[in-house]
Amino acid sequence: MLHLRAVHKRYGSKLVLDIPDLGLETGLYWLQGPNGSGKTTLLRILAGIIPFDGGDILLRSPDQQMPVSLRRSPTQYRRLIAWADAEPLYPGFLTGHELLEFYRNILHPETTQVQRLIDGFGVGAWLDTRLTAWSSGMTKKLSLLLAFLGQPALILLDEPFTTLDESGRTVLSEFIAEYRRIPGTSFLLSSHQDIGPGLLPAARLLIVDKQSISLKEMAI
Amino acid sequence: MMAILNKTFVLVFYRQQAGWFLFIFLFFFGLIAPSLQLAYHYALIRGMLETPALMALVWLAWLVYTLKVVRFVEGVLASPDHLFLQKLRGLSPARIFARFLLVQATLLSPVVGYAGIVVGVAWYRQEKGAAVLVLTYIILLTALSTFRIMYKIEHPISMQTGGRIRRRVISYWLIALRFLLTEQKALLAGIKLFGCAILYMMLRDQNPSDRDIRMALLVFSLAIFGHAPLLLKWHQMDNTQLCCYRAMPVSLLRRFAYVAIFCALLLLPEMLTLGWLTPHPIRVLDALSFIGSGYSLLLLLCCLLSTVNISTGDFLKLCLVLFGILYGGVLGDFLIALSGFFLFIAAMLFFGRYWRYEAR
Repeated sequence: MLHLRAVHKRYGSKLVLDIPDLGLETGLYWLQGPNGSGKTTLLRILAGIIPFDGGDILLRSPDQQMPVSLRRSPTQYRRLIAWADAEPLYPGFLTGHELLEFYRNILHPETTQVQRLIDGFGVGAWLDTRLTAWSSGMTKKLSLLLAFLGQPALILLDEPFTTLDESGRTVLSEFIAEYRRIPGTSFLLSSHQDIGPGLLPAARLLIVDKQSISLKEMAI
Repeated sequence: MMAILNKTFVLVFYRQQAGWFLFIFLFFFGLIAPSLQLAYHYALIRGMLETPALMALVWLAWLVYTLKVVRFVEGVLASPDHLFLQKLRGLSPARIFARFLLVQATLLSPVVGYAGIVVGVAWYRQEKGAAVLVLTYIILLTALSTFRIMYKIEHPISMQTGGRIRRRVISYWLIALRFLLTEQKALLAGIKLFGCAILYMMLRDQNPSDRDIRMALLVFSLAIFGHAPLLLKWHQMDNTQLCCYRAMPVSLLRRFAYVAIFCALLLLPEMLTLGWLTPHPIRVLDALSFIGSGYSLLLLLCCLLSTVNISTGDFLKLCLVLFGILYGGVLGDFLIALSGFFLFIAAMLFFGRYWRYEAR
């Protein structure tokens, strides 16, 4: 599903990530590592938000024979990816509806899917309010809702459980479980919190350490 | 209670608007020699009292300021950090009104103070009708804005849609433009006013038989470079609040087109001013030279910010270098070629470097 080939990233002279070769099959991955180990950088690289210095990233969706390269087909690659930031920031002068419409005009999701996500995350009552008045928890829910729009093959969630209340955590884990049942849909998420097996069943660990990343074959 | 309201609304508002007040103060008091201040302001107020159009303009300015204050108070009331203010609903309407009337009067004090002086001058000049009118208007502004705030306290958050979705086209260029119109309106208004005024003043007396637009072009270029602080703000917003946009499946061509539309809309006031001055006193070709040079420069600056990691200081230095090149273009009469070159560089930068850019 996802293949990182000789990917490395430097900030000045400091090597932040050096991944010689990593292939991941479809599934749910929990990215772990200490602060500053490069988890967010890796997620942002995979999301296409920041560039990387060398190598390539290939992603294959279930309906495609050939994998899509982030370098060679940046737009096509981004069609397969969804991303939610750890501390999402949006233009405060927009209302929730307007931000949602901005995404809808680009991703063209089904209206029923959008409505289900709005109802599921419980943000409907706030959608007409400017984002500047949204609490951090509600903004987080909106960012997660946006990450579930459309039919992404890989959903990247950076610290998805932080700032969420108990019901929000449950709703998120239910949506993750539901989307995982769609063939070819994978999740890669980072979290410092101890995620119990109830919230993320059968997640596999990915350890980021010493600028590299390794798969630990241990279901949690 | 009043101390809390003062800290929450009055102190924060005046701290946030300090730059704006300084600008207004310098505009009204900094341009005139101290010895002439009194006579100048007296003449200004006399002009207001004698010219209804001028008075209407001043009333409009007071109204705009009041709306700004109301919007600020509403923003604070709606903010999650100030949920404790909902406890005000426990007070009787008369008490809420009395407290917020005081808050409003303090927030509107620059307008109320100036209106008081106008009333005093009108009374002194025996124009009692005008004095009563101004007084009534300012009382109405203060009272109605207080009622509006009272309504917002009693009806905290609009939840009328119940989460039903509606279709509305929101594009990147629209968000960028709305950012400038809502978050940078004072800066935008100042830059646009300067650009349009420069064009009008320098071109209105052009003579078709003895035409020389070179100086006007150079000064207009300075007005375009004046957009630099505005573009830096847009760029900052783009990198922080809209960084999700980079992860979205939008082709480079569409992204470039959105930036191009944004630049065109940003230059619209100057284009309209030029349209107004065409075909007399300036020719269509001259107007196109102004638009071409201004637009290509603006697009180049936007593309530079979107693709090259550059500090604010270096960006401003680069603007100076570009001005030097433009100066050569105007003197050497190859401005049209230079505009084409700027457009070409803008496109090359965008298509070659956009995905390789990372904000540091």
